[in-house]
Amino acid sequence: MAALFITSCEHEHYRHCVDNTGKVMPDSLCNCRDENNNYRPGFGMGYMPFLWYYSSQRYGYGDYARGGSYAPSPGVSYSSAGVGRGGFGSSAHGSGGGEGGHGGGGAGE
Amino acid sequence: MIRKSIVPRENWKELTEKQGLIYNTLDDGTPYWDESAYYEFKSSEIDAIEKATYDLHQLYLDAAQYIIDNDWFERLGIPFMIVPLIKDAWEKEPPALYGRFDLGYDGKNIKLLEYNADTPTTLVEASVIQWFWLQDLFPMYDQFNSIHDKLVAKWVDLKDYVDKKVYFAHLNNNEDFMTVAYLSNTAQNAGLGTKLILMEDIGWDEKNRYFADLDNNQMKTIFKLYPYEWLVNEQFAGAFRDSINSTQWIEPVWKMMWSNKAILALLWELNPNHPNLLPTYFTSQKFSGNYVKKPILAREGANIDIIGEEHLIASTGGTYGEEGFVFQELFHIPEFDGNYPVIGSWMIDQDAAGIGIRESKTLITDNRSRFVPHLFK
Repeated sequence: MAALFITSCEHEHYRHCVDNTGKVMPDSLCNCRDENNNYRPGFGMGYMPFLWYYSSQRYGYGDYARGGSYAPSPGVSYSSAGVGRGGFGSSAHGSGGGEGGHGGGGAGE
Repeated sequence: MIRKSIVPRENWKELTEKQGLIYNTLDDGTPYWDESAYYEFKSSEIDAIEKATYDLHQLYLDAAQYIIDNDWFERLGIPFMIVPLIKDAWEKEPPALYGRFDLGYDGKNIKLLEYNADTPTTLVEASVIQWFWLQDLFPMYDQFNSIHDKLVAKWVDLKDYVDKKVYFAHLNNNEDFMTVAYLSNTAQNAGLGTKLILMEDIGWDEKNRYFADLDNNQMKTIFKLYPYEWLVNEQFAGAFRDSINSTQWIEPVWKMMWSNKAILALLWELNPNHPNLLPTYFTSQKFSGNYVKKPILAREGANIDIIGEEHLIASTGGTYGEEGFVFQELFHIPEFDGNYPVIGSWMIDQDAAGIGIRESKTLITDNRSRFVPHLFK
């Protein structure tokens, strides 16, 4: 019970960058927004479908964040959701990254 | 150069697998590593190929400087946001490891077909497998192949310039895995620590603003077997740009200037009638009949048309070509018993290091091409 109590006291809150479906994206896509999701000065020339999303649950990159809100709770400190993955590798579509071997390549004659 | 047929070693499949070629057979069950024949060269022919390789390397160096001085990036299809990174990397000269010129050779003329400067493969078979084949069958002869020794020597040179742990990032398939596994082994031989990671597993630590491995440790030096034209158009492209001063990528980003077939047209423009170049333009109208249409950015021999006497005589499908095409004069690679060999000539940093030969039944070297060993006397 003591361990549970300590865990509860140390519960963190997380800030995620999400798209308009709630999917967690790299934080860099939300750099145009302030913490209340207003456009920061110099941004807002076009529609950017990325917003900060605040949650007591930590979601990974590509997850759908649920149960939180788009506004931070007063007095609560939020940390970044952490390390996002999957930002490279999507262009391969099953082929290799190398050029010219068993997977083919080049152009003769 | 002559092609000689021989009986393959009885246990070639098991043997080459043990040596690292786990992809020694094509999908249809026919050999990819094909030792039912080999190519024999005279030493004078090898000298000529080596010289052409050095000459071409110099032409590429000069062309890169021209691209930078004359702002040729748009014609190469390079995104404008990457241009400052390329210019900076060209000035700072971060580590560059390797590249492979694909050459046509008819016994007299050596002509550049293209340069795979960013993510060349066929490395394991060129460096290791054909060397063991030579030792097994023809130890009295030689082979143009010091690829392994030069790779290790290059890593030794780089020891003071790269992180003590070098990450090798790759896609999840046999050939790419074995290529980076082999390269990481050459780095280990030089005393470096290495770690393999899938491209999709590379993490971006938003708080600390660095790329992170699966244990969330910072990745300071990353060898990537993954083409830049993909990397700079993906979700982490912004992170790549933002962290360029804290992450060392091998190959360096300036290789985008070389791993691009538009540079073939520039090379011809800068060096008309060079003996190792084929006339190449952005239009087919310069040719009266015989030429090859190649996408500026493409892989695996895709989207290539060969026009002979104004008629389409060979073509491959694919999804490339959005960035445009170049048109290269058709070079008549000699036919050997129904096979068309293309010579892959390796550069390890600034050194010509050896060759590997891929053979095709068609005029286009594609994913049905086979690797055939060579020797010289």
